[in-house]
This record gives sequence, C-alpha cells and structure tokens, in this order.
Amino acid sequence: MEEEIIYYDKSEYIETDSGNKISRKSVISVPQNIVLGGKTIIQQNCIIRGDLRRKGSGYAVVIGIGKYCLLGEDSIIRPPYKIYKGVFSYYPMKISDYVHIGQRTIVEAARIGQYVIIGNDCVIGRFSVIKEYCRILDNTVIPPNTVIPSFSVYGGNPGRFISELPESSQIIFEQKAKQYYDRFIAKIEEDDKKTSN
Amino acid sequence: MAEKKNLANLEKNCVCKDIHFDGPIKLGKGNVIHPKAHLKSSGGPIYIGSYNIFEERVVIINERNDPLNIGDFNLFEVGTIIHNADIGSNCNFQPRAHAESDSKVQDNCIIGPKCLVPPKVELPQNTVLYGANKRRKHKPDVKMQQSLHLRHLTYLHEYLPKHNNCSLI
Repeated sequence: MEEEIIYYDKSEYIETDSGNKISRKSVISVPQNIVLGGKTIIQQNCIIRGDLRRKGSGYAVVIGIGKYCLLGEDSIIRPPYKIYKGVFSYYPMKISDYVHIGQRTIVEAARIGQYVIIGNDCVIGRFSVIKEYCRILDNTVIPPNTVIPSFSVYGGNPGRFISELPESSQIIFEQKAKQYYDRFIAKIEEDDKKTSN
Repeated sequence: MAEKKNLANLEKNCVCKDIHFDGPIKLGKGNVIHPKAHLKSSGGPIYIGSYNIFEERVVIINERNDPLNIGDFNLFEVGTIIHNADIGSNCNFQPRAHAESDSKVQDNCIIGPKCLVPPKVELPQNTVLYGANKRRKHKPDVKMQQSLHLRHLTYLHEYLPKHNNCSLI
C-alpha cells in the first residue's frame, strides 16, 4: 500500500515541537482558543475560527483537535451556534484523533469521534455528531443535528446511510492517517543536498 | 419592543479588514462581514440593505450594468455565491448555496446547502430549496428565524471586533 510522497515547500509550513505542520497561508483566528494534539497537518487556505466562542472572558478551548489529523486545502472549521435558554452563543467543537477532513469541506459539527474520514466538498451541519470509525463520502451534505453512528458510511445530499464498515476499519484508518503524516514531507532543495553531501 | 431596543445598538456596519471589497458598493446599517468575504462589482453598483450577515468566503459579484439589490436581515453562510442575482429580505443561504446569473430570490426564502438557483429563475416568496434533486416546499412561518438572526447579529457586533481587525463604519 505504498503511495507517493507529498512534498511541500519548507518555507510555507511551520513545524511545531509536537510535530504539527501548519501552513502559513491558512487563517487561524485567535490561536489561544485552539488546541492541537500533535502531528496534525493544516494545509493552505484553511480557515479555523477560534474567535467565535461562548460569552465571558478568559481562556476557553473553542476548537480541540486530536493527533494525526488532516485539515485539507480550503476547508473551514467553525464552531456551531444556537440559542439556549434565551442566550445566543457559539459552542465548542471537539475533533478527536485520526480525523481526516478533505478539501473544500465546511465543518460545523459539535463532535467528531476518532478514526473518521470526511471526503472532499462536504458540508457537515451545525451540531451534528459523528461517532467513531465513520466514513463520509465526497460531496455529502450532513444536515444539522444529525447523529452518525459508528462504523457507517454516509453519502449523498441530504446525507444517508449507505453501508457498514468492517471492524477492522480502525486499523486501516489508523494506518492511513499515520502514513499520510509520514508521506507529507518537506521538499529538500538542491543546495541543501549539496551541502549535506 | 425588545427587538426594537436591540436594533438601536446596531447602527454601524462591522466590516473585517481581511476581505476583498471592490467597486461601487453601498452598505446600509448594521451589517456584519466576516473575514475572507469577497464583494466585487465590475459593472453596476451593489446595494446592500441593513442587518445582513456575510460569513467567510461569501462571493457577491455584479457584472451587469444594472444595480444588484440585496434586502434586509439576510444570512449568507460560508461559501455562498451570488452572481448577478437580486435577493429579497429575510433569506437564508446555507453553506455553498449558489444563485446563478440573472436569477431572483424573493423574501423569506431558504436555499439549502449546496443548492443551486438556476439562471434566469425567479423564486417566489417563502420557498425552501433543499436536497440534490432541487426539491421545493413552502413554509408558512418565519418569526422564529428572525429572533435567532437578531441575537446572532448582536453577538457578532459585540464579539467580532474584539478578536478581529474590524472597522466600524
């Protein structure tokens, strides 16, 4: 299952101590409110809204992202909002480990469990909950307040249950996520090569 | 009564700096424009009413010579594209909705996620467009939406300038 290596421009990405790779071209508002679990890749033109949060001052986690996650190009992560007891506010969003979010996808979910792969061009509605080990196909629209059970494949507009995943999917998804991180490496420029030789 | 009180605080437009804003565009009052929105007019002017919310990656383009009119209390969610189309009031464009060239959307419409208003089509009042097969239905009541929209506006007016580079016009 060897796939080709994805090279990126070293000057474009920031690499943190915990192994997060964050594109400089992404828009991350209020990074104090965002927690990254480590070894997460945030690709270019990604928008993460950490400023939309519950009323009140001080430090709060608005968006929590686990380890080995991938936020694809042009994807938008923004917390969901609702009126509760007459007060309007945004609510925190939790994304667990090994979650892949495809290109141009808009996510406004409340919680995404471990080992979830979301395809390209999807729209995940407000306060939807995606449980562990799921696959959302490309071009899917998940309506607001949907709960997607474990081991299911969803697709279509509006999103419907299509099939079940085998129990081995945990291992496959984990491998996939780790392999993607390993494949995503900086392009070594020729001058560097010469000096290293 | 309470709604009128709320509106009194929203005299100014809250416009983020990180947007593309080009051509003759006239804003009413109390609008909120999130960062990365794209408003461009290469032809006639764009007249935007009052109390609208434009989220990220909303694209509004006018290439005709006629003016493009947008009413009041509209919500344009992430990635909406309005291309030479007139919009009424109290409309809700859900993520990635697309109003194509020379279409017309009247009052109280909801365009579902990834739905498309075809070119040169006029949507009547109270239409809801949803699903892949462009299903339609008419909805009777809109009052609930209004109160949510007002609270959303007041929240954004209060919190958006705190964390973003905004200008109040």
